[in-house]
Amino acid sequence: MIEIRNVSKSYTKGIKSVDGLNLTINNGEIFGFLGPNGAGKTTTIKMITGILNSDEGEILIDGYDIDKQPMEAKKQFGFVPDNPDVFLSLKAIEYLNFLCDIYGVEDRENKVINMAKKFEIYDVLNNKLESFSHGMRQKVVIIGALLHNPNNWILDEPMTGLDPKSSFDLKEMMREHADEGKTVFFSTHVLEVAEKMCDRVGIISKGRLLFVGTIDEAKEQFAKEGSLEKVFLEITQNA
Amino acid sequence: MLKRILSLTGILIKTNIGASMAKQSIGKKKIFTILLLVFAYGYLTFISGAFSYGAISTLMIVNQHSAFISLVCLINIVSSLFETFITSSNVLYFSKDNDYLLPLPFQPFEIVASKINTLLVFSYFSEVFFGLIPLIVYGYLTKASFLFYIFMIIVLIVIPFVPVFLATLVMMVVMLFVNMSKHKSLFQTIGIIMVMVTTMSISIYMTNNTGSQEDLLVVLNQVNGLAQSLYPYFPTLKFASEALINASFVSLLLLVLISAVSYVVMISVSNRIYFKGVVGSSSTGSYSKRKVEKKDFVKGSLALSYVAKEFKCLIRKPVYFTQCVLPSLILPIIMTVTFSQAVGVDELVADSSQITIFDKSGQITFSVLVLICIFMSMYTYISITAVSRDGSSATFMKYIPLPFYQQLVYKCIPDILLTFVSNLMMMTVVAAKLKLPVLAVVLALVIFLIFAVGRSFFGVIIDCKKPRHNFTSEYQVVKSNPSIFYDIVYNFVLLIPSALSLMILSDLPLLVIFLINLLFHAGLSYGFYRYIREKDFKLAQKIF
Repeated sequence: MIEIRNVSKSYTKGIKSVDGLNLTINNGEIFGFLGPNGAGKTTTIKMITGILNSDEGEILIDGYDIDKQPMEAKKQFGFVPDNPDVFLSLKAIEYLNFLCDIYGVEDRENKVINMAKKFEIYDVLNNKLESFSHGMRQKVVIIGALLHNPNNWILDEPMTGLDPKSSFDLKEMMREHADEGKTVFFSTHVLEVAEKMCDRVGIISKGRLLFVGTIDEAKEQFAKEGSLEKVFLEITQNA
Repeated sequence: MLKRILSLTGILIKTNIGASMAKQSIGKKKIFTILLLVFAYGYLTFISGAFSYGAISTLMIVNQHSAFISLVCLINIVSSLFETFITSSNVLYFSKDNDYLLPLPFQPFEIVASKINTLLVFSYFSEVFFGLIPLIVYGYLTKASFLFYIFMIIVLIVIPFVPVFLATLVMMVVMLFVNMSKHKSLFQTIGIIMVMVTTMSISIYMTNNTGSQEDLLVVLNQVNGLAQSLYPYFPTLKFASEALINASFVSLLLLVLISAVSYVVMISVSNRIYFKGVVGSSSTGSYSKRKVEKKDFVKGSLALSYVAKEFKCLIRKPVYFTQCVLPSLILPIIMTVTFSQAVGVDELVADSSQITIFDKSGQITFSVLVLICIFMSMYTYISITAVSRDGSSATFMKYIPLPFYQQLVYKCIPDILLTFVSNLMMMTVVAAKLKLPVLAVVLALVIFLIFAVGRSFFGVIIDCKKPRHNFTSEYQVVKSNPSIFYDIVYNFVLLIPSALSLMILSDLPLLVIFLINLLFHAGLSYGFYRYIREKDFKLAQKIF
């Protein structure tokens, strides 16, 4: 469970990139975080994961405050950043082993092999990440985020660069994860993905959360006959 | 067209050197950074000026000072050649800007010309110390006319043309035939090691033959002879030397003409071959077919795993290996080899019994060895770049459940280990050869180890405060990172207490001197550790 309470962040004095954000992502749900470029999605994700500190408010992950109990809070989630270029000099297997050591993962061999086979990168695990394409690096990072079977899964634009099969597999995994009673929080620009997958969505623009609810609620409220795209445009353009 | 080339050249220079450095230094009036730069460049200027002064004065005694001009021209040609070998692969092939440039509507020759101009500008930086300062000293000592200085400026502008083009051409031809996507790291590393071995050999040769003023004269004459023998291969060397020695306008004209023609030829040739090599240099290439085995899943301790990751990332990137690791190893090795080969060392060894009698308890030996070790570690840039080297991966440090301070400590370990081991090797050779008091050597190494810990902590603190993880080429992390001057200054400052210990405390018993040094260095290291531990939240702020 992720609780964001009255969180604000400014990079420049007087301009809030995230303004008084309140949001709760419940266990067992997939939550899609939508918004135009520069809306504050990545800033929010960086604050949830401890990469950035909030100026105001608090963020709790399974009850642990990311600022006050950072180690406990960080153990509760797996994070897939928007840029999968992580330690490119390492071989994929070295990177995954390193993560297993950090998170104290048991039975690492089975977990790594199973997931690598699912994403069809098992045969290349012994190669350096720098030789991988963007999509393959993304797959390695996703595996790394799931190895310790976290209660909360946080993904920043996870579908970018993935081939259709891997994208499908990832969506399946996200659904399975939520069905196990765990939390999936992800940002995306792809409205179709959000529409098909998310139990609830949040739409943010200019740092302010403009809507939280199900897709049906959004359509009902903003454009009864329209697509999610129309709903999205209406909400963000009128902000 | 010319405007587009100049504009693109400017951008390439900024992205390769780092515009942020200039912006921060001047725009934000960071006086301390400016002072650091002045100090570092002042130091290099002093070294260059002092060597030139000594060499020219020696040659003037026998009225052969014009040989110095050939020497300077030769050194600049060789340095441009080597430097371009090292930097050209980064600028031409492995820079991230290729991905952005190739799809833009630039004519191929505009990109080629801009890249080659960038390499030329790089060679001008080293020319300041190898060419400009020595020639100014020469002009001053020989009371040269105003015309000499005009000729000097023109010669310094055009003399790197031919060597830069030759090195670039070799690189381009090699790139046509080597599968770079697969072997690029190995290729770069071997190339740079070859350059370093050559430099070492020259250093050893010079040391073996320059014991006295007469020896220096012989070497300078030999170098002059070497320069003359290279005239057929580097015609610009001949014309540059003649233009400066005889104030020959014809030679200067020929030098400019040859350089201009070579520029046109170079652009034309590289326009044909460069793009064949560059397209595909960033491709993924083929994969190793070795599958993972049970032994690949070994569980490791957190500390070992983290330090191993640091070592792998450090050693596998050729730029980091050559710029951060090699200097820590190469300088003590050069010193060790030079010392064991140097002329006069046998006499020194013969006299070492007198030294031992004089310094029976090892007080002087101890302080001198500490001084040498501190000096030797001045060019190790591992900790000072530990966070910056991670680039965009640096955010990883902030979202994993491992305290930030603990990660910083792990990041310091490669620096501490490498500097200590290389100095240990050097000290062992020197101590064995001179039969120095064992206790003094061991105690000096203990102090050096503690110094290395403090220096590493200091470096990583500076890197956190001034991270440089937004780069287009790894080369920028070391070569255009102003933070490394903090490291050099730190070493210089810490030479002072050791020098004072040598001058003031040498009458005290060895163990007392050791304890005073121990308290000082351990206190400093512990102070930095406490800072990292207590301020880790603050230190992490500037990392993305």
